[in-house]
Amino acid sequence: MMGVEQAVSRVNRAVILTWVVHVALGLLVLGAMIVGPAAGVSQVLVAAIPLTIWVLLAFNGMRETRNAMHWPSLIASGQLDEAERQIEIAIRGFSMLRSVKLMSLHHLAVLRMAQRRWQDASDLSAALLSYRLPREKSLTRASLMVLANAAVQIGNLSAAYGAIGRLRGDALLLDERLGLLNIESLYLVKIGAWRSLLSGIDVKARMAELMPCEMAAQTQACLALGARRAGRGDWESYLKERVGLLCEAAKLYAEEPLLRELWSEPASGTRVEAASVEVASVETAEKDQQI
Amino acid sequence: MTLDPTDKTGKIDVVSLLESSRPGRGHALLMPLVLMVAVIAVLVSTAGESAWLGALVPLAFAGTIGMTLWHTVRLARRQRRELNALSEVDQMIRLGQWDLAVARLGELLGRPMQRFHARLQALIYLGGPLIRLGQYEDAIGLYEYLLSNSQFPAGISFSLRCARLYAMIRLDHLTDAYETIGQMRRESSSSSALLSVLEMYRDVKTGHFEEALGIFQDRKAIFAAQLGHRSCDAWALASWASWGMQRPEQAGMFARNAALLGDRGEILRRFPECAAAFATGGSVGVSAGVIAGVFAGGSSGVSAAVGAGASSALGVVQQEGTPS
Repeated sequence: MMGVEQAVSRVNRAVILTWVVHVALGLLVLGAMIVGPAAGVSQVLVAAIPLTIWVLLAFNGMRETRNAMHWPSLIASGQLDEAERQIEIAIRGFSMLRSVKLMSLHHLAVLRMAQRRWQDASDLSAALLSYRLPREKSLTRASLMVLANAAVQIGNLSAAYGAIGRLRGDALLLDERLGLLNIESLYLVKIGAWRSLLSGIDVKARMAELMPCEMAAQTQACLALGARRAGRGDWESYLKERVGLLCEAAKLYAEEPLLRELWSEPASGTRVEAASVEVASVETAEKDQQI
Repeated sequence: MTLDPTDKTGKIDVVSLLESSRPGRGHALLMPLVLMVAVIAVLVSTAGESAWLGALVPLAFAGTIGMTLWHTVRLARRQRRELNALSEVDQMIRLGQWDLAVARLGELLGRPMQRFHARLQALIYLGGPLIRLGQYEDAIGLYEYLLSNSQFPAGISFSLRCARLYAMIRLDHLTDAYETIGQMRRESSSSSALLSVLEMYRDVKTGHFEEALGIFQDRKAIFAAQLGHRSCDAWALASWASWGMQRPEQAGMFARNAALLGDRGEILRRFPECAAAFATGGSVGVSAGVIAGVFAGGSSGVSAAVGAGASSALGVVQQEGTPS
């Protein structure tokens, strides 16, 4: 299994090598144009050699990009070993396209997420974000999403906050918005910002309907917990019922122990009634304002 | 430019969209490129004869490369625009913005598309609005066209066949539906929740309520796992089956669960026959009933919120989600 440092250093080297090869081939073409006639050789023929190499390497890079498009489906279908093997080959090999290397690093981070190696996923995404990424930004957003998710899982809440903040500043696609809602809900549960969690709860509950089963259940369990803490019994029971129809409670709190509270009987007097919501709101206001 | 893909009756004109979207000649630059290469070849062969002809060789060479690059970039930009449009359509369909999706698909399919695969993708998306608008015959025709003219990965092909099967059952083409289900069962494993829902639909439509409930009980675990909130369809059909078996209490409970998971109006649009079962016990309890009122705007509320970025929980605005 390729370690984080090993992967990052290999990609670093490969990115530099890619630039060197580009510059070298460009110089060779230029040299052929200048030196060719002086040496009495057709400049076109001489220039054709580096150009052909250039085209072949670029073609190979495009082939690798196409291969990389299969990795998400391999990961999603649980073929993690095969995905890991292919990603490692891509990281170790030479590619003319810098984007192939960056893509490989991102998919390695996604793979580590699937393997629940949160720290590795977080480190890989942070390393990837330190590169100058394409202007199109989809890779940046995907990487920030992995970073935010992994950081929430390992409890690195400041990194999660930074990544979530950057994502909020971007125009996101629907799937990205759904992913962000899930991550934000977990994050807000972890910091206990119940007011923010309940903000726009009707829209959030409706958006959760568009998520895959486990994500929908986790998000709504977070919202239900927020409702419970704020004394909103109506929302709590509604969301809990929905969660119950989607998956087993034990599975949810095995993933996120904080959610266990939702299925525990409230101790007498701890159930926050309407009157004490004000107090709870004041207590969490500071946290919410920080957000 | 917005092209209206509907005909005078307000229906989507599938045949004309199929024709107009056929990818055009993708090699418009091939002829000038061949000419350019020919010119270079002539120049190279005669370069020794005159100095100025020799000087033209690198220029022609650079021109050919430049033209190829320009064409590639232009083509890539067009293809990216097409892919972005498809991604928008996907989003519109998922958010239930059917009118917008139809208009966007009209724009895309109303002229020759750049890529064969993008056209197939757009045609697959077109099936959704067709079913939504009740053009089941057209939907069946479209899915048959897709399945017979292209090779899809097994998963996509399976989904297309399921969509065609739903349209068949809606149109009461039950013999065809029986055959298709049998064939799909033989070809695939029994763990497809989508196919199980369609089997339940066929059974309740033909009055085999007990069989439908049997399928529901046997495969209950996979419905939620595979379909998420769309498992409301299975609950709704189970409610219909229970109602058919004169078990109003059970029908009411199942209808309630269906309404908890999905929008009641949408469920009844997909399975209008469930209305009776929902009426006998379709109440979704006090809190959920009030919440249904909050959600009265249907999917448009969600789509507006998504558009406005309201999904963010980090907003400072304290908007109380008041279901009362």
